[in-house]
Amino acid sequence: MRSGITLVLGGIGVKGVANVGTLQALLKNKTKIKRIVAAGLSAVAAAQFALGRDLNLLTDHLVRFFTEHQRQLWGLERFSGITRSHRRRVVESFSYFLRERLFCKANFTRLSILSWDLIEGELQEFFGNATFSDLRVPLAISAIDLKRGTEVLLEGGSLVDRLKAGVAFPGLFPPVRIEYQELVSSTLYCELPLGRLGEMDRPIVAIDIPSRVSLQNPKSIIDSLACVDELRSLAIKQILLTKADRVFCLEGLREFKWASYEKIPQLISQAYQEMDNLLCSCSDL
Amino acid sequence: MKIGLSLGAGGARGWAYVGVLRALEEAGIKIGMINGSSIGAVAGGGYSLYLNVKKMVSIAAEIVRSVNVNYFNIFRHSTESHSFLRNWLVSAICDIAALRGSILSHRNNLKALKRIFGKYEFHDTQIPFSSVAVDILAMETVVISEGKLVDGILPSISIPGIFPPVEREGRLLVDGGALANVPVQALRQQGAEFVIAVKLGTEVKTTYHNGFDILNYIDSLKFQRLSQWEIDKADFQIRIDIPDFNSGRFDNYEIAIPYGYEATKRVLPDLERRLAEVGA
Repeated sequence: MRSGITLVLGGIGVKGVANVGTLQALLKNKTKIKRIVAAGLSAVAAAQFALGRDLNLLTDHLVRFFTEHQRQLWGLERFSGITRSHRRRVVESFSYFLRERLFCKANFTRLSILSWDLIEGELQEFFGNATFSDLRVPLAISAIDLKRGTEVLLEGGSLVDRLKAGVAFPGLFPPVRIEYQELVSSTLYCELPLGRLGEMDRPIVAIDIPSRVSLQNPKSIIDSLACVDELRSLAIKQILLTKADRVFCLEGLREFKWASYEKIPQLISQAYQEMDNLLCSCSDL
Repeated sequence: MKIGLSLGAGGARGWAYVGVLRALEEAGIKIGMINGSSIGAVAGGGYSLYLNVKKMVSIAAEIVRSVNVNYFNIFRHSTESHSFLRNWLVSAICDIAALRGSILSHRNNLKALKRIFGKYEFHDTQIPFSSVAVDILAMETVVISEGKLVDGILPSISIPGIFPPVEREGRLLVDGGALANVPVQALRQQGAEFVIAVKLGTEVKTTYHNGFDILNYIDSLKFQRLSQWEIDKADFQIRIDIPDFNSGRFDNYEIAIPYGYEATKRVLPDLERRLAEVGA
């Protein structure tokens, strides 16, 4: 793979940040990357990498952001347990009911639970007025265009706006309007943005950060719907993964929740170690 | 050559399958085996048992008369012009969504299925038939082709969130449409040499007013993508579009049937040519 690889990064929610570790391992291995295609928070890590900046700065920034905004993000970490209702003691059950109801009502009455005020300033402060032309490695950010109902790859213009579209997880953040498009994150559709890649992009190397799988009887309607949603995403991922020439599955990250922002440093170091080990056993990258 | 017919999910629009079967019967195309998901399993099971389209129409009429089919239409009370009622309904739905496992029980489903299939079993059908469901614990498609037809078809119509999943032999089964809307692959694995897939066209709502609209929209994109991958594996496709038809209105079977008939008649010359090409 001398001409360089197309690196595909995914991961639901905060798990996408683990790709900071993946990219550090690839840097150490001196793997040649001709293009990065990323979705969700992995696009933020990829942007920092593509700008040629220190990835540790991003880690520190993210840890500080989540620590400072714990109050605003109250319950986000616990929302990730929305489909995991195995702790059913009285207090837990009541809290579970309230969280599900809140999620349900917020999404019935508005476009999302959170607004852009929370993170737009942070992205602006971190990436400033950088555009795609400032990147040293070409980057494509995956999103779903609600107007056309298709996955799109954003490869030009203001980096901050496109990153917002990449992380606009439906239900959590409102869609982002860019020109004639209305964009949301593609991670809910498929964790790995392989849909738009073709022969020209070969060799394609996908980094699979698997999601926790809930093998239990759904306790509520939201549970049931989330379960089917998860099944469909997994089925789409399995089919799309056949497009990749090589898949590195970071199994050790499976048990982390999608909103485990308190565990960002662990996620990154675990991803680094696993990727480093996988690269050691593979001579052609 | 064994011709297989694969029928997909789609609620009350599935009555259109009766029209499809009538058109195929008139054209003398012999179906060797049938499978289906959701309403496709009901229609496929009924036809494979009786091999008689007229009987299916009379069963439809009888079910509409004797079972409260409109009960299945959970969105029958429009609240668009009543903001107070809408707010109240939203709160009620959120309470139900957080507390209950499903909106409806299987009571009326069982009543309707027993009217159609009685005590008949899969081995009583005149042509091989299988019902397709999804096991949400094992995350896989399950083909049911043994036991009582009522018991085998019930899991396939358990629309997640609306009806409770069906527990059977350690499996937790829901509507086959969750993964395999038109279960073409399953039918081929069962021995069908030429598969005709029948898909009920769905209108995807591209406007959104709240977060749930967006979540639903993304889910419908996934559903369509998975359906298309499955249908592309068929040897021949029939698509039925029924404009402005409410999928919950099972009493409108007389409107849906002609759409299936007309859609099949339109593509019949192509189907006959394809069948001639493969020597069927």
